[in-house]
Amino acid sequence: MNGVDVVEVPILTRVEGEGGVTVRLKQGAIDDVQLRIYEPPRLFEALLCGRPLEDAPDITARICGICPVAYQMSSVHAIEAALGVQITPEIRRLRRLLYCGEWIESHSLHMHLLHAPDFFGVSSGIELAKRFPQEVQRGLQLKKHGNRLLEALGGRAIHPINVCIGGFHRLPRREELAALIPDLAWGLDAAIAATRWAATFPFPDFTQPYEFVSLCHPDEYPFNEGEIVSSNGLRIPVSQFDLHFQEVHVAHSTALQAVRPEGKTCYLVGPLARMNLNRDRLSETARQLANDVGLEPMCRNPFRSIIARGLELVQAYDEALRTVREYQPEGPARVTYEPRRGRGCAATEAPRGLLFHEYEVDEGDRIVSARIIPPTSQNQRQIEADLKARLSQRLVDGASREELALDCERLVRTFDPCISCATHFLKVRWEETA
Amino acid sequence: MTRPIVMGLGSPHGDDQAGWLVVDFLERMGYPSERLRRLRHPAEMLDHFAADETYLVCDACRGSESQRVARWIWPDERLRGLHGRGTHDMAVSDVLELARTLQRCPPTVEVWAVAGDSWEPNAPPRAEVFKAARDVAETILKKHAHA
Repeated sequence: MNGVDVVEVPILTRVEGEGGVTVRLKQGAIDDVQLRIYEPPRLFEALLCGRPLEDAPDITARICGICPVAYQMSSVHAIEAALGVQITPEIRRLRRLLYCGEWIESHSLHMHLLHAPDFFGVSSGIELAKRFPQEVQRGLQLKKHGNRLLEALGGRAIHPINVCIGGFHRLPRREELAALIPDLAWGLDAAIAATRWAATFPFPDFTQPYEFVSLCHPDEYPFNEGEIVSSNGLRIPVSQFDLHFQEVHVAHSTALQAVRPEGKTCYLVGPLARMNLNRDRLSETARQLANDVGLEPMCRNPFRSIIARGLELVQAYDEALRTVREYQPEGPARVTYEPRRGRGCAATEAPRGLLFHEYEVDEGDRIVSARIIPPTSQNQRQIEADLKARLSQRLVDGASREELALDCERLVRTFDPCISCATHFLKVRWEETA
Repeated sequence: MTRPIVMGLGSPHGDDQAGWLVVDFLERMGYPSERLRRLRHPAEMLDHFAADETYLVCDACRGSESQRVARWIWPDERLRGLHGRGTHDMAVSDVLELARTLQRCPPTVEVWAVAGDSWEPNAPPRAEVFKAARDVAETILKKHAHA
């Protein structure tokens, strides 16, 4: 006996990608928690170097099958910043509509099939469907609406192909979008019902002193534009990201983590952060619903992020429906640009949180350098902090190892991590020193 | 009795076209086109299931030269062990299980798989897979000729 007790827990399910958690206990207390990400680096940034800048939205979309729009949006906005391209209001509206499709698809899947099972002690969406068939059917239907919106505007549901630097390759015809109105109208009501359902779940009593970080725009709930703000009072243009956020490498993860440079502290991005920092920018329907379901003004319970996702689902349906009803194709599909050397960055709000891109391009329309900082990568350090706090709380409650392992999985799922994007969960390993 | 709905799962990448090829061959052999579906992802099957229909699912799989075609009657324990690898994909068995739970598909479904081993993007399927897909189509047609 070498004094180390190791407990293996099966791979975490219902998250994307592969990794593990090591929990070290010392004298019966949680000493350290490491989120081990061992999926090989995917090297997308290196892949982009030397490629035509027009390839960026299509290559970066391949980073993720569920949030390709986020990668497309951050990449085109960053490159447009480098080129000095100003898009038209119509293109801007359609880009927000495309993002609505992605949020609808991603949030409805996570709420109904990935996260909701945790509140009912079942292991999968299939098991949940035995108890809540209508709710699961609804989730599948909502996800389909998101896919259809992406198809109509992006050319296909997964890895859309219609986004380009300066706009779109082609504007959708009015009737193509108008055909979605009945689904979107039904979906808005269904999203409201889904959020009311989620708000009744039995939430664990657990809060954390988060620093929430998200984009913030004066006039709208954030998708593609805004300043970066935090609950600690930070308010900066996206171009100052590097001054206030720092990527760090840890030996147990192939994905870089992110911290605030001054105190090396962690922070949280994603639906809960967005909701807490932008609640007053929600549509009237979503804002009223947030009050009705009793979501506290600054919610610090990660398990209640499912309510924030529901409200964002309502927000996305509301905006999509309004945009589609008002849509008249006008103006160019894309804004032209002149090649030039430049550097630009942008951040947009992926379903899982702030996604930062930075590019340097040359006068020959080639990418010289690329940098991508995904939301799951930024949340890693916070996930470790939350696991440590939650497992300590549960140890005091007398939870067994098996219960603690389940708690690990449940807590990690509240983040809806995309480990493949971050490169990438999950076995839990316990190490106990006497 | 109406013929089963045949769902071919595939992608344009090498031998992964096997499911689509079965559907293409069936169409050319005169199988009613309204009973054929060409799908990209298993989750799309949920859009087509109805409790009062019978279904054949044709897909590509990894396999060996010695057994080019495999057939299961789902539920089958060998299929149930095959789950999708992430949150973003559902395996055929997951989708069938969910559809049955939601009472959207019959209790049994016939699953055909053609073994392949070349998945190059946008490459044609290999000749062996092409032939095996035609064999599967002929077998299905013969079995359901008088439906």
